[in-house]
Amino acid sequence: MADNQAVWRINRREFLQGLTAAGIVAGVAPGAIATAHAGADGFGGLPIDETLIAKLLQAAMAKGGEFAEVYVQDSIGTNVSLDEKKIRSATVGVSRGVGIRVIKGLKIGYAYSDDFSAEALLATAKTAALIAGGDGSWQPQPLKPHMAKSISPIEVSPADVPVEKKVAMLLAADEKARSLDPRVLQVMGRFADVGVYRLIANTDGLLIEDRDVLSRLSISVIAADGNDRHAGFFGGGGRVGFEHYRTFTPELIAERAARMAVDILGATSAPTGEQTVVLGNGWAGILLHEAVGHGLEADFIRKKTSLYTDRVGQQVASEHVTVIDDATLPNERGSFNVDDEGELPQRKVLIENGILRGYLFDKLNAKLMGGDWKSTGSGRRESFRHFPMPRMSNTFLGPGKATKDEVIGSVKQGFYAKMFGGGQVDISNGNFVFEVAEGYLIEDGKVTKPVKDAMLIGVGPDALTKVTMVGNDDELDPGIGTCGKNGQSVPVGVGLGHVRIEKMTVGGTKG
Amino acid sequence: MMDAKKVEAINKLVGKVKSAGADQADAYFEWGRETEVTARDGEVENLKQSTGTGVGLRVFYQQRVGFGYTSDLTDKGLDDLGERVLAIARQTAQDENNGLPPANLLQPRNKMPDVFDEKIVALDSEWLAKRAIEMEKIAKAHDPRVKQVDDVGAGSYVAEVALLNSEGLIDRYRKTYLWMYTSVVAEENGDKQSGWFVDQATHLGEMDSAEAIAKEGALRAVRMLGAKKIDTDVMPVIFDPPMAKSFIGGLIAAINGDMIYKKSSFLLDKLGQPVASPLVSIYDDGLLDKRVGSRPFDGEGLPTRRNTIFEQGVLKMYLYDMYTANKAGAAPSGTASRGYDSLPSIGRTNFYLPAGKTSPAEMIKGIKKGLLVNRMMGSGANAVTGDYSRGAFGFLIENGELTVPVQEVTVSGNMLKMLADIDAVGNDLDWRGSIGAPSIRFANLTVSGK
Repeated sequence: MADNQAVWRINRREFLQGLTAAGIVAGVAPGAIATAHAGADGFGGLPIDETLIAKLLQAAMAKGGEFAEVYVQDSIGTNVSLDEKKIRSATVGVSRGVGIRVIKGLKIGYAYSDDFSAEALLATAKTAALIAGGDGSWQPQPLKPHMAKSISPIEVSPADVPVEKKVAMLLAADEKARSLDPRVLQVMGRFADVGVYRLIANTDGLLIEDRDVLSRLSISVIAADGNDRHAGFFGGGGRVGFEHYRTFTPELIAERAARMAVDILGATSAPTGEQTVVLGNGWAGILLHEAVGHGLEADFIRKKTSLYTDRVGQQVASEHVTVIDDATLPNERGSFNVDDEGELPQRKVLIENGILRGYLFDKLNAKLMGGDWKSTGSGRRESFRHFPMPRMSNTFLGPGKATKDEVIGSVKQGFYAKMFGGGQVDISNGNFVFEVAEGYLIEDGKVTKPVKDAMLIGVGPDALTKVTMVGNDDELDPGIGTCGKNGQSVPVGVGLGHVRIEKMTVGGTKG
Repeated sequence: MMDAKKVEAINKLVGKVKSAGADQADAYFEWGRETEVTARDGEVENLKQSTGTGVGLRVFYQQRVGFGYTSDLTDKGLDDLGERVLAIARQTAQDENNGLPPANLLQPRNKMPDVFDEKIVALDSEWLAKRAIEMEKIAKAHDPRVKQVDDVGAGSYVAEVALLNSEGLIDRYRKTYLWMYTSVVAEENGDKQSGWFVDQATHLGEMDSAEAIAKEGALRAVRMLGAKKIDTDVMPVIFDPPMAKSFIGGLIAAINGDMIYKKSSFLLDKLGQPVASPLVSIYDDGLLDKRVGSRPFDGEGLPTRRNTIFEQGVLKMYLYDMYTANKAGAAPSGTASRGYDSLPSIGRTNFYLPAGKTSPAEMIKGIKKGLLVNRMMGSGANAVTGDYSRGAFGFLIENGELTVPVQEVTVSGNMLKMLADIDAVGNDLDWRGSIGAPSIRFANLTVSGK
């Protein structure tokens, strides 16, 4: 609900990172969680109980719906921003409301309310019910509340850490980045953390509650040398305690960001045309996320939009390619204790040695596609204002056998895409683009000159058949990714080891 | 619409934080009603209807700034907000440039642009459903190669915004917004292509018909069937109006006064210089009737106005909010954007390049070998360096005619040179949304393919 509503929700799947993305992650934070819920008697300290939830489900089913669900969210977060060597602003935000979904056949009715009065919530349930367009009734079943088991152990919730400590981290990062090189011109930083309480109840008798935290420290640097200016970026976090930043320190993040900005100064323009490309490990897994992952989300499969429709069991990539989506990894940004439909997280092998094994399902698409398909615990949503869709969690390439040096050493002349900016994909044909934030030439098996403003463009399934080497140095990105789909942003993880791809198109300014 | 009692409660909150020690404060309150319908197989697929509210509170405390927001407008919710924001403000740095706009800048308002249409308020979900179902039917029937209408919908948003500050400002306005879109997948000989089209308007009468939107969406998919990669070359390139809009949109970050102050824009030190081709003028105008970006006042309460950004190629101004204007010793541009969940920041209103004299057909005619770009991917416009590199789709132009569809190439250049290289501006100005532009032609751009 910004000033100018953006309506570019259609088929735009953008991957965002960096400071802009930090803005997207609902900021939430310190000290607030404890106080918000202390001494309250309802669920999560909110004015709701089993009786009211049952009433809402009953009202939602009154027009002949087949399934109804109540989703309650209460999140509180903080966001501290550094600019020009000082804390420019600090924000504390509360986002709290109830979303009610009713399903009949292919149809979804959805309504939400940020007013927790029983009248407002009942009116919301009645609005959602209208989609079914008939008459019906539902006998409330006894709901058995239980708390989701946390898969992400933490010592200190970022919510309980005084803002002063978050401020201190940003100032330390600023000092470090500036100390590294006199060409560092600007340092901007942000620490954002959010604590989220969720409750999901439905007409199958489920009532599950969850508490989780998410945080991220990100630093961007602009370096200048004469008229030559470049930006560098690094950051990370996850569903981690504040102790995470004792090892993933602000200084370390600042150094990576500053090096990236400084190293590109004086870089040449990217050579254009088809080349052998080596992807760096970690965040470059965004290529997998865009080029393959979105095409395996079951809504695109059910609607037959995706080019992976009806291809389970077929060879869709080279034998070196195994793709896994795993929401169960402790403390990772894309993980969760329970999905936004109340299903437990899973590890899914989507492509195994090049053979397509399955898709990512939410409950609705699994049901509509029939057969043996079941939810893979991939139903996710941005907030109570949105209904769930099948989404990725942490998506990565299974490790290969080659070392990093072997992968790079195998290339006589090529392009090393170490760090990406954002990317985008067209699900129907797999066309994708990626901005390369940090790239280098490879000459005679060695990484040599830095290259600026390059981009990779290709067709997903085609690129996957051209993967000829996969490194054993696989790792997940440090926790920076936010994925957008149909106007909804959710935190995700991506990863891979160093990968060699033949004949990819590199776009740049040099002919 | 907005509950007057809530406005009063928020006004009290602003007063309360001031009595609790704040130097100044302002609050941005938004009420909105959203309805959206999508269709599939001749029926309603999704129906979403809700109303929501939110309030953002900005507090200045000893030259520091704190901010908070909440969707909880109960008395307790508002009290908690005030306490939290006052507490967090203490953690930020002192900066003499922080503060509300001075009273003499807040008045007079130039005008109340017409951004509210009772006809949109009156639209119900059935009306939207009918349009969505109609668009799906028309898109499917448009061409046998249309295999999927994968996303088709219509939605409306009715909102009221109030801005209040501790200097006594209470101002509000209402706005309406309607959007309709069709997204299509076409298929032939194993090749799949997607196409989509969206129209958006503040008034029902400004909206394209469901038929026109559906046909355009289908056309955009079908015409790309059989698209090929072409050889890397330097050639004249035309951006169609949606792509020209995207290009000028990329300039907004480069005229952002904060980026200028930080010497982080390729348009630094270019004020008063003939940076762009003399064919190029660009305006930011918040007062236009029936345009999505119009509003009577900006996110800090400053009157909106018409700003001249480029005049016949000469760069005339940068954009500033109050804080960066204070810092840079410049005047605020009345373009601050703000949502209830964010601090005001340097923004824009309606940003546009007016129509030129050349028809799109004449533009193509003059080209021996070139590219017409009608879709791009990725956001490769670097405001710091001016480097521009994006995935591009469109048509090859050979001997003055469009020949084969093109995909999997990138167009790249530097925006400074690209601005100077514009050698034709079309007479086909297209709005739809808050950025407007006609077709533009660049004399030479790098197209990377095979």
